[in-house]
Amino acid sequence: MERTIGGRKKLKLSIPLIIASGPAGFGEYGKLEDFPWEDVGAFTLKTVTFKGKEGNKPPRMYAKNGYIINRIGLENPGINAFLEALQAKEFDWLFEKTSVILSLGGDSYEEYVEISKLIKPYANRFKAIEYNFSCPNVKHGGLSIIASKDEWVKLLYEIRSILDQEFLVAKLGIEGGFVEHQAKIVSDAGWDGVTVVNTVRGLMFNDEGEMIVGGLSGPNLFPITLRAVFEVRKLNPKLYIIASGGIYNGDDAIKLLKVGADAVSVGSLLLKNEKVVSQIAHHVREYLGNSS
Amino acid sequence: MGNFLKFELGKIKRYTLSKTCLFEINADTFFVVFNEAVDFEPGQFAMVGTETTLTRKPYTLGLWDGKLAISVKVVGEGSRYIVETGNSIEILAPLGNPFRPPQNKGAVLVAPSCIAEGIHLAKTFESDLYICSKTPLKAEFLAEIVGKLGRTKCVVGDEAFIKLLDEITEQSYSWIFVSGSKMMEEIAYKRVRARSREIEVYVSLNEYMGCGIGACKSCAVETFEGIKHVCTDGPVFRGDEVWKEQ
Ligand SMILES: Cc1cc2nc3c(=O)[nH]c(=O)nc-3n(C[C@H](O)[C@H](O)[C@H](O)COP(=O)(O)O)c2cc1C
Ligand code: FES
Repeated sequence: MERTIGGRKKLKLSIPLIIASGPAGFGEYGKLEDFPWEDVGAFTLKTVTFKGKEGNKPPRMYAKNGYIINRIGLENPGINAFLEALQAKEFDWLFEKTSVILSLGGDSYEEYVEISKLIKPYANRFKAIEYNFSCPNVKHGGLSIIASKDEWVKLLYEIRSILDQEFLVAKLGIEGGFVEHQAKIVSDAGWDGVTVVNTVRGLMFNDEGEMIVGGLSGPNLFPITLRAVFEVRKLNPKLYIIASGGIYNGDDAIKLLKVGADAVSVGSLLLKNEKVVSQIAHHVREYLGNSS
Repeated sequence: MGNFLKFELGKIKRYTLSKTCLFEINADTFFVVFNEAVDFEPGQFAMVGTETTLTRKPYTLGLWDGKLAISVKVVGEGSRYIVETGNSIEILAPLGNPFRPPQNKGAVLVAPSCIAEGIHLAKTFESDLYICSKTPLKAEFLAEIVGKLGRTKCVVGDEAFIKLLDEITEQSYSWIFVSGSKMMEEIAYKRVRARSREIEVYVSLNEYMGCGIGACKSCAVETFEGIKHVCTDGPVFRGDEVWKEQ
């Protein structure tokens, strides 16, 4: 499933270009006649939580200039419904198209542990398992699980011991402390990688004057992502780093690879135009071809 | 929550469109006709891409001489781009569920921003069309519609709109379809149903849409059956799914 390069375990992907968890849902882009699957190295499913979530009250999204603000609230059917769908082969088409990364979340320590146990029998179907420790749009779990550091560290070790064979990735935001220090904790707990960064907490009024307290994504996030990857790499030579936040073109992707990302992921970009994934893929292939 | 882990693959098409003509509907709203034909059914919509916005914008669809048409109210950068600059416009279509009204006679009430859809529905279901506008429509455009469809009335101003709602009886219509602002739709539902529960009121809802295809979950609306998504469960809902009668 993965190879080791210079002490760092690497995901083996056709191209280190990943679809981020959330904006692309559970693969609904497969409804399009021409989604560029051939240029996708892996698809991250929307975060599945222990219990199903209905998500937040509307309005849930607003976009302006260089940013999108969302407060979806991890709407998902929950792990049991997800596993039923998996067993009913609802995702087989997606596994045929590309590698799949599973994103998991919960509302408490216990839920993170339980969901890890539930997924274990199926874990080998996924290229990696990403734990969402950074969603700003839920009251419990997500970003808030990191607030209690001792508990979080214990949780990281416990998940590692349950899923001892899997490629484990922690998705970290920038608001639970210095992200490079948190990444170090993840690395010390024996995890394989991190995804940095998630959306950043934001607030905006939409055109109707309604307040949207949510997470910020889109191009304005890019310099923050670049800095986060740069800092995480300096302190954590062995971590596999997936960059997420504001990647909209090939140039963005290459800058991230230059400062130490192993893979780049795109989320909000799909809402503008999924075809740009192919342009980014072209640049990434060209860059990797020249740099190896 | 709906069974959103199940969906049909490969059905949504991408079209690159070129504009053929543009009518002024009123001061800030335009009727855009493209050269191309697109497969869709009444009530469905498209996500229209622009160079200037981070998300595509949803527009309900209509026809004009067999060609695809949308109505666009200029409210921001995206709509301005569609009206002023975009000559090669990319859309995803068809999206959402077709609208299937009851058999009997109905009326279609639309704001100027939804005229394209309104004309198409009125034509398909042989219903009367009421264009409900805050400001008068350009006479030339109204004449074009009347020439093509007949049975069209323009209702200008809030008072006239309320008067129209009060004149709708179950003798005249067994259903009405309303598409415009959320407030217009809610008022229509409550006002008409307060007098007659025999008249079915359908509304085409507007919520902010990120993807338009059921992926991002941004287009949630609260219904009495829980959260639904305008892009995949709608865009047309029965009023009683969303609002209580007064
Ligand atoms: C509508 C929306 C929903 C999201 N849902 C999730 C989610 O369920 N799980 C998650 O880990 N990240 C979620 N994210 C965060 C994205 O995966 C990504 O990390 C973030 O948006 C920054 O990248 P971008 O600028 O490329 O979108 C969501 C983002 C958006 C815009
Ligand atoms: S707009 Fe994305 S789910 Fe409806």
